[in-house]
Amino acid sequence: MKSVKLHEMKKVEIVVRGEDLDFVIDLLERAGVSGYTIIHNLSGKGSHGFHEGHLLFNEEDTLVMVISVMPESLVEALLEGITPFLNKHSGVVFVSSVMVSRVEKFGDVPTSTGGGS
Amino acid sequence: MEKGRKLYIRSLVNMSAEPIAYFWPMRTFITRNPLREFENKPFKDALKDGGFLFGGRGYLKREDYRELYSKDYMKEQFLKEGIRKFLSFVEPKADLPYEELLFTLLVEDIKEPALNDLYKGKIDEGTMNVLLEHFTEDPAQVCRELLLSIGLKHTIQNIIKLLTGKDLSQTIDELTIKTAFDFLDEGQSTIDMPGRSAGFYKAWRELAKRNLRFFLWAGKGLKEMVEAFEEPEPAIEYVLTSFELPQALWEGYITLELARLKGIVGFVKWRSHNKFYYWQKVHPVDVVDYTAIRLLIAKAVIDANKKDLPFEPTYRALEEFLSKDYAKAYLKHELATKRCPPQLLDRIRDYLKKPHEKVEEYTKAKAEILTLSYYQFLANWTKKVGIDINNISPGHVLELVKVYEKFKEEEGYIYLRALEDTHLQNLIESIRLSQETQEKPLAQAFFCIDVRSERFRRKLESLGRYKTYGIAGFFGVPFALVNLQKGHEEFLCPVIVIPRNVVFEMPYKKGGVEKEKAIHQVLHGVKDHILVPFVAVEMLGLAFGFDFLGKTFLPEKYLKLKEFAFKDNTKTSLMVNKLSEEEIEQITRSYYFTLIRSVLQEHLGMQDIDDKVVNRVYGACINDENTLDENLKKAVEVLKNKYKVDRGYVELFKERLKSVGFTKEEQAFLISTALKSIGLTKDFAPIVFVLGHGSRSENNPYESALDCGACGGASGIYNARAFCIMANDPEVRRIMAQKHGLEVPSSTVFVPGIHNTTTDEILLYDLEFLPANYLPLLENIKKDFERAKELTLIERGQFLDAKKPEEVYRKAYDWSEVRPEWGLSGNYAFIIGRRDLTSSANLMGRVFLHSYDYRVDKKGFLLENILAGPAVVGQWINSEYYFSTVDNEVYGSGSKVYHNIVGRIGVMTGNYSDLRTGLPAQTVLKDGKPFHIPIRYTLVIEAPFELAKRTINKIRKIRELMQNEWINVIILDPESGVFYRYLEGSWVEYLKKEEVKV
Repeated sequence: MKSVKLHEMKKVEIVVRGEDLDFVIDLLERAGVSGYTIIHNLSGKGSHGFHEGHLLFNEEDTLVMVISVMPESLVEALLEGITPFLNKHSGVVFVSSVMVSRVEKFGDVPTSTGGGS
Repeated sequence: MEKGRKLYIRSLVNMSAEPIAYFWPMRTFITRNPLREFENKPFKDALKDGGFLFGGRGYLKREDYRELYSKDYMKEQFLKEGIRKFLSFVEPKADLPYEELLFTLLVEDIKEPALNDLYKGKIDEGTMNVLLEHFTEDPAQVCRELLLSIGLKHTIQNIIKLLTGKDLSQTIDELTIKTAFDFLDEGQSTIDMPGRSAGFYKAWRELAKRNLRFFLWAGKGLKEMVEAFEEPEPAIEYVLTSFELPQALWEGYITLELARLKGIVGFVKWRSHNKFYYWQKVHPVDVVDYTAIRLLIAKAVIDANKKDLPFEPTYRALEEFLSKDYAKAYLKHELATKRCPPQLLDRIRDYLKKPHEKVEEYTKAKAEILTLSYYQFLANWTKKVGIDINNISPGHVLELVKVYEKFKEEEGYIYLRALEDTHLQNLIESIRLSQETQEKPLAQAFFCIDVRSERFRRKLESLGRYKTYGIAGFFGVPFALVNLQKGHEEFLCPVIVIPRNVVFEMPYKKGGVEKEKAIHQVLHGVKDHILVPFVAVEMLGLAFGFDFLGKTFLPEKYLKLKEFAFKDNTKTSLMVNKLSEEEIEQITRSYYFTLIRSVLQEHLGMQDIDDKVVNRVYGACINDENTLDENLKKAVEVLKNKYKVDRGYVELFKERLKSVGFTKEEQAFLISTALKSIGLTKDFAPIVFVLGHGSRSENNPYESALDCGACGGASGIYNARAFCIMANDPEVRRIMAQKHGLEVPSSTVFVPGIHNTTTDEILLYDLEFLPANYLPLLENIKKDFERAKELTLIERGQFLDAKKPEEVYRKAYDWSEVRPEWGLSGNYAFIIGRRDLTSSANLMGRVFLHSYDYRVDKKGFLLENILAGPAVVGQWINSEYYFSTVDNEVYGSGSKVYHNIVGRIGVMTGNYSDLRTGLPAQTVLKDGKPFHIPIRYTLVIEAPFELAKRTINKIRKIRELMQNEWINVIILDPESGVFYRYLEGSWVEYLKKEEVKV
């Protein structure tokens, strides 16, 4: 069996209020990402103190995280796009490097660089 | 355009649209705060912003408040408190009886300064001089302010109007309205706008290139611009750049353009956030499309009219005009806006010929007129308290003018606080500390928290051993219902919740069969027919990226079934339980087998296809096997590629089926939580009624506004029925006892029903499942329901000009009746606590009541749920009523008499207007005067002080509303009997109930 070949990608994690989730997803989709994961009802501590997530009959008042992996070229467009939002709202964006094996799943065609094959 | 830039513009527009509140289509009309997006600001500031943006008033007019004062709705003491606070802030120096003066102003009819009512007597020279100086305007300053208002208060077309009187906004609005309604139409219009599936911008673009109407009004420039921009984002950038607007103003500028038609934009916003809404799927629209269209139209209309303007219509040109040519600009502004006193109208035209030389002459003349009109007013005013204005020194007269000008800004708030404080005092006086009673109730009944429940509850309780509870009308069981009659999904829960479970309404035949058996038998046959199309249409849409769902999206088979279902008085029940693994497998196969069979017939011309063959093809599709004949292999390829029959999609299909119903654990959890949250955990009566509420009124496009806000503007009966099916299930009760420590005795039954708030009838459902031994008791209770109805109607009749109960009843069914019920008019408070607190008070149907017993909520989790959900929804309702009353034209929807339904989405006034938002005049006004008393929402919580405080701090929304003074919050500590009130940033002890707990 061939060993798994890894490609470098960027992982973007965005934490916003439940009411802003639609906006973030729309932005990601228009940026052209191929998929994302949503985590609802977050708990944690930030500059506004501890935020506790649990069952509430009001989803606008919770924190959510959207995680998406994409090629670097999209990250820049995405960050430019989210600027007006962050100028006005609280929210957190993390960008980090990750390695993925099936690169075509993340909206990018593997380049011929990286060791050749 | 670069992708990043495009996304940037898109986000910017989204941010610009934030101040505009959602507007739901009228079928699901939900009340909401029209200034909801300003709730993160202090109340007073938000009212100002609302004024800038929408031109709405934030308070009633002085005369309306005065009338409320004369009817004892506000106490003198509170008005004076407000005045004193104002004075301590302003600190006037003069030795004048300011408190008395200002109080007189509030309660007596004193005419405001008017340009046609000038002082005729002699004025002391010194006084004259200081006043003249005060009222002399600085033209350069006026012009500077005009320039600074661009993007904050005014658009370019507004400025054109302010400087020339030429009103281009009307034309721009009319063109936008026409095009928006053509696009948003949901099947009312007979002529369809073409190309709508491509989205609003693209469809409009095609039209605008050819449309004569646009050409006539907007000139040929529009066609050129439209041709240049295939997409909305570059069009937006182009227009704003061509106006030479500094980038920092873009967001505010777009907001102003959007605020102009806030109904349409609110609806577009709502729609673009509801991806599952049928019309959004087939005709996508969003605020970016709308903004591009609006800006292009504005630009074209302005350009088509620019040859008559004294300046180029750009920010830079205006900047120059307003600074270099300020005298001319100022005089033009005076003329165009009627700021010019009528006495000077003749002269101003001459002045305009030589503006720089004559402007000073004009400002002097104007100051003199203003001085005389103010002096007349001051003379009248001071006379009321026995002072002759001529005896006051010049400096003090000037101070009086300044105090008056400041007071005008604050008086609305002073009236409001006095109204509120009066209401609060009365409310708190009527509250009694809870006392335990040992009496066993005959029956318990849950009503919606809605203010309209209160009268009926009070009357019912007066008839005997009834205990009533208030709970949000979805009873803590949120779900999406597929209604047999309507055939589409409806969300039955507050709009802030997205339901994760689907419940189907299923037919069963009436007869002597036991419930469980009956449902099971009939369901077995029809489940496939109902569930398959439901999942299949969604799946097909998903798989093929196209959409063929009609408004009644379920195909023919379903419709036939429906006919069958309603024949022979077949009744329905709700499928609240999950499907079993086998059922899911069977339904999935049933769907895919039918699909495969028809593909084989169509593509291979096969007839009489064996089940085994279908099964093998199905297996091959999902397992990637390839041991089939050549032509079947081809069929598999077709099925996989074209019809997406593969493992992934089959799994999705099953997943969707898994969202149907609730597990028994979920049911036990929801029912336990609901019961605990209203404090009912023991001493269950033999019958517990679960009464949803709805209102019946014919001829009312706003009907759903009168229905229940807690269940998404629908009648709450389905939630009530689902609740009872769950709560009566022995398995669910077993889990409740085991896992949640809540034991419901087997002798207790839950019976669903509906409280019709228009007729005050109680209609019970699913009685055929009630064991026979309950019938005698039920008969007696029904008689009490009937009596409670009569008593309630008599009480309500006083406000509906109906003398007898029958008249109230008749009004509900009379289509010509513009005011079948007062809806939630009068609502002002939301009480979270035990019913005993208020059971001896007459709350006049004006208070939301949510039952709650802090003793079963040690950690405050249940209170959190009540605050985050129902209490927030109550505030939406309250603020919609508030704003619709204080400014019915701007925030309300005006008179129903002139309403026309447009595009099946809402109403407009006359033949062309924005979508009217808010409540109609008939709901909140009576003879043009406020019937609803517009005051801010007061939240009263019965819970230990520390617990309540901590819980409020955890719920962001409530905390924000409280800190920004959108709501009043009062905590009643039941242990100490002390009421605490949150006032200006801190908690103060407000009152202590000295009653002794017996």
